[in-house]
Amino acid sequence: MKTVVWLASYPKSGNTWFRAFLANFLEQPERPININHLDPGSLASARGPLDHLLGYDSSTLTLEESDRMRRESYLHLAREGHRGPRFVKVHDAFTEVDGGPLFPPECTLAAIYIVRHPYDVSVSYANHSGRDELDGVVSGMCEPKFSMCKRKDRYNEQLRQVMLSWSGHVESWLAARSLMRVHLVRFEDMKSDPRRTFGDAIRFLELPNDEARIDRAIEFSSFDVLKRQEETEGFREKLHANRSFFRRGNSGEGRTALSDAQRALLATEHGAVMKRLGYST
Amino acid sequence: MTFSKSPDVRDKRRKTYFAFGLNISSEVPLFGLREQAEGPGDIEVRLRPFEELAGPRVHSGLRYRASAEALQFDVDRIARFEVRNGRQISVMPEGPPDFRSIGFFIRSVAIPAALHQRSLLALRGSVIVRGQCAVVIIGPAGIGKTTAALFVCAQQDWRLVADDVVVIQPMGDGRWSAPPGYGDTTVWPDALRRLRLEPSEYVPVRRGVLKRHVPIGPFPPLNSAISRIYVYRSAVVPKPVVEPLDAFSGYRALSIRCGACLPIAQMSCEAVFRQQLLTVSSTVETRLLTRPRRGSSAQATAEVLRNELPE
Repeated sequence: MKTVVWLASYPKSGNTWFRAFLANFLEQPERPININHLDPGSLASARGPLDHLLGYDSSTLTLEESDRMRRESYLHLAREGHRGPRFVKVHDAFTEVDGGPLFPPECTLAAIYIVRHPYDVSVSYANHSGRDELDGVVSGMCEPKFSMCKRKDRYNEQLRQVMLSWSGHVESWLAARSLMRVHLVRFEDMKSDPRRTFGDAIRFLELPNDEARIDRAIEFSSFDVLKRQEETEGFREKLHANRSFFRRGNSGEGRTALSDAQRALLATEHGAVMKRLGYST
Repeated sequence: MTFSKSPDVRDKRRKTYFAFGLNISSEVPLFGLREQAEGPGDIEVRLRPFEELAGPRVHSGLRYRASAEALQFDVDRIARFEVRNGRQISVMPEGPPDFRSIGFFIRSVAIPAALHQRSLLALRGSVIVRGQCAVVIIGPAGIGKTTAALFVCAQQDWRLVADDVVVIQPMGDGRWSAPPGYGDTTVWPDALRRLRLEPSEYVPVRRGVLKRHVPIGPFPPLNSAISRIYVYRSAVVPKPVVEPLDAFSGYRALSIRCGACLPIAQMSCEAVFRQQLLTVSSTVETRLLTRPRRGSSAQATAEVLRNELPE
C-alpha cells in the first residue's frame, strides 16, 4: 500500500519549516501548532520506531544490519495500512541497500524534496552544530560519501544516514523521479513566494486546494512564529551546543559569511547542480 | 542450523551462570556473566529447533512474535530465538554459529524477556550500592545511565552491581532490593574515554558493534534495600534538573522495560508488571533526573546525580 510521503532535504534546508506549514495545514488549529509537537514528519532515521518494530534495541546491530532493517521497516509500515498519507522526514540521500532503494517505491505515495542554496546551508549547518566550523561543514558537503550518525564508538540517537555530497544528495532525489513522484521545492521560493510555493506542494500532494487554509498555515508557520515559539518554549530538535534552531531564516547570508576559498570550493564541487537549480555561484 | 548431536556433547559445552538470583544453564557461552558450579538452571538455554508461533493470539512485528507464554525474535544472519515460560530459551543459529553475537542477544533480549515471564519486575537501568543503601537509575537506552553510574562509582565509594537490566524485588518487610545482575556492563568506547578508560583494553560485544564488556562489582553478599530511584530522561531544559515524583507520576515514568519492549507488553506477565510497578512507585522515593536534549554533557548530569545521592 503506497502511503508514505517522504519530506526529504539536506539538513538545514527548510524541512522543519515545511513540516510546520504542513502540520498547520492538516490540523487547521485555532493557534499555531507547538513546534515540539509537529506530527507530519516522523523521522525516517529515528531509532525508537525501528526498535519497536524489531522488538529489540537496534543499537545492538551493526550499521549494515540496521540499514537492511530500515528498508524493511518502511515496507512493514506500508503493509500495516494507514488512513491518508503518512509523512516522514528524511535527511538521507536516496540510496540503495542490498540492491534495492532504502526508501522503497512500493510504499511511497510521493516525495517532496526541499533544496536550499548550498552557501546558506553551510552557514546554517555550522550554526546548528554550535561549533561555527564552516571549513568542516563545507568539506563535509563536498565529501562524496558523507554520512551522519555513522560513529561506531558511541550510541547514536538516530540511525546512520548516508548523505553523499550536497550535490550527490540533490541528484539522488531528483533521479528518484524515475521510481516515484518527486516534487522539488526551493527554500528561496518558500520565502519569496510562499503562497505559490506551498500551494503547489499542496496541489502536488492532492490535498484540498483551499487558499484560505493555505494562507492560514503559512501565517502559523512563519519564521517569526517559529522563532518566538523556540524562544519561549525551546525546541526539542535543537542541539545543546546550538544557540537557536531558528536563527535568521535568511537567503543570501552565505555569500558574505563564507570565505572566498569556501565559496570557490562549493562552486567547484556543486556548480553544475547549482546551475540546474537556478542558484548562482 | 547447528545443533548438538548428542546429550554428551551438549553437557560438555553447558555452563551455569548466576544473575538476578537465578541460575542460568546455557549451551551457549554467555560472555560477562558470572559462572558458578554446575547445577540445575532456573533458566535453560539450549540450541534446539522450535516451531514458529502462529495463530490469532500471536502479536507480531518486523522480527518478533509474541504470545501469552512465549516470545520469538530473529536477528538476521545470526539466529532465531524463543523464550518460553521464563524457563526455556531456545536458539536456532543461522549458518555457522556466531556464539559471541548469539550470547549477546541472549543476555540483552532473551534473558530480560525470561525475567518478565517469571513475573519479576525487570527494568532498563543501573544499580549502585554503598553499604546497605542501593540506588536505582532507570532510563531509556543511550541516555547516559551507565556513564553516570560509573562516574559516581569512580568518584565515591559506590559500586555498580547491575547494569542494562535491573530487577526490583520485594524484601518481605515492605522494602525493595535490586539483586546483582551480570558480572559486567556494556559501554560505548566514547563513554569509556570520558571515564578515562582505554577502550582497547575491553572486549567488543560482537563483531561490527564496538560497545565493550566492562567488568563490574565486587558484589555484596547481601542485597541492599533500595533507598531511592531516579528516572533519567532528556527534555528541552537548559541544564540538568532533579525533581520529586509522586506515586502516579513515578509509575508512569518508571515503565521502561529492558530487552524486547513492545513484545513483552503482549505477554501474560504484563498485568503483574504493572501492579508491581505501582507498588514500587508508591513505596520507594522516586525522583526525575532530566538532562538537556541532544548533545549535552553526560558528565554534567552525572555531577548533579553525584551531589544529590542519599548519604
